[in-house]
Amino acid sequence: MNFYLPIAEISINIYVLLSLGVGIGFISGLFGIGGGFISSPLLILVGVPPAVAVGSTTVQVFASTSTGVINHYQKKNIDYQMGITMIVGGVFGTLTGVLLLNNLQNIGAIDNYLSSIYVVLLLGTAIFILYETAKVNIFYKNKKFKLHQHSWIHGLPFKFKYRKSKLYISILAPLFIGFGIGLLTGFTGIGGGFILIPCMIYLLGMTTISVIGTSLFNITIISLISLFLQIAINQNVDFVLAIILIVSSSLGAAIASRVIEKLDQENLKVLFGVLLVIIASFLLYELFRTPNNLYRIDYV
Amino acid sequence: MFKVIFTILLISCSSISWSAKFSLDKFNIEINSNFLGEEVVLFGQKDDGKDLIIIFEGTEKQGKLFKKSKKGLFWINNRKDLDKIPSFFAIFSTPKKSINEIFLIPSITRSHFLIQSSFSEKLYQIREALRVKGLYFEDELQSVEGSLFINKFKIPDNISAGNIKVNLYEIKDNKVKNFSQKKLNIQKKGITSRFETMLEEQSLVYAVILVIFSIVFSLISNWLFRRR
Repeated sequence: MNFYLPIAEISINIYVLLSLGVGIGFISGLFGIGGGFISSPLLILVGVPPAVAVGSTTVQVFASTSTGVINHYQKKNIDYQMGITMIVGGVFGTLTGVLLLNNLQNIGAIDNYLSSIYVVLLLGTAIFILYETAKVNIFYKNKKFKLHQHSWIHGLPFKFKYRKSKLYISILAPLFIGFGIGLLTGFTGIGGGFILIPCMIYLLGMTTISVIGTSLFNITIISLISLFLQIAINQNVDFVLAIILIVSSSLGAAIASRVIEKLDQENLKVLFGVLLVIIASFLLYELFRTPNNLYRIDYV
Repeated sequence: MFKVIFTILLISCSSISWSAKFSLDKFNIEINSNFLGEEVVLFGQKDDGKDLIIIFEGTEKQGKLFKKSKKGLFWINNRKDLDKIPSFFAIFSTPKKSINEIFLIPSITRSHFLIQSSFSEKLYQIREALRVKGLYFEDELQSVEGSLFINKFKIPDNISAGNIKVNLYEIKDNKVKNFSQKKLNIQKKGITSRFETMLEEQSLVYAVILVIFSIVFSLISNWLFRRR
């Protein structure tokens, strides 16, 4: 059964879309991620125009993180000082990302650039996950290692006291991290939690208790800003596609929450890493293969 | 079965709007959330001794034409901005005429931008790009029972709203002897149309509604799926 997506201006099989949403939600639920960096490339692979995939994924990211923020707000797990500093950087990053997307869409290079970035992100994440799993289970088995070490970041100027996280670090570090995540959100539609959380732990040295809540707070606000900018500048957010993704991914996340305890976490991580490599391989193939059609028309 | 439907349609059209020698089974198509493209039946009667060319031409829109070329390992898009590209273009003829044969009839090619010149590389590229999207094709009208003809074709789901002009040309010795025109109207209707209009004209309202909907849907789905 096909379904018409009014902004994407294509009809797509509803079962494909629902399975995709459930699958993304399932993976998100298993690994505690927003799922944006999987949903955008998968939507492109099933035929949704790249710009619409990016815009609609932003809505899904906003929806999936906003409910999490409410929980962490109630548990007082959010470092608002840190969150707002990153959001300030994030606003500029998001605007840059959305304008970059608009520019690349105009010159017709959006598919190449987006696919390349997704390939780097997916492969990078896969390598990181597989390496971390190997490190814990093979290289450093039964050994303790420090999560946080002092680096050049702690020597930067304009230091500020972040009371909740008990940190005295330069304001530039969270500003730049916020800018980078905002740029990623605006340009690719992903929330960027899988990059933000390691940055907050390993680079800034935040405690894990406030990391999840603060990253969710940051991603929710940045994806909200990105959503408004995408609609105003690129007009690429498909209402119908976004709602289908939200509902189906919630179902997937609910299924994941029920099976998560029955599954071996380490095997799951390896499986996830392999899945990311497979998606990246498909995108790579699409990037380098001789196209079936040399000509394309986009109406303005 | 098809012949029966065709005959009924022909009779019904002769009593309603049979001014020219062709008609369609529908003159209005609505694009709504169930729209998966629409099959249209083109039928009519031709005079013996004359060839027939029927050209469907959609509203002209601004657009961008991209041509892929290989640079290094990557396939890069080269862009051309275009002022007027028809949203749909189809050529039917009986007996079957190739596009090169139609190029020999200037009174037809002059009226249609997409087939104005046989030598234009740009027009060829536009035709190919539209063909990929199912928005350009050439086909033969099938003859049934003497001078009657019929053809079924699909208006694809990626069609833009607007009028499609249906132009009938009767040809003899590469000259147009008779011409008539009808219009096939394509409209966006229902919630689909409202979303698109809202996104274009009231993007702030669209964004606010989308935010509210996404929070509400997310909360409801979380509550529904997690409670049991």
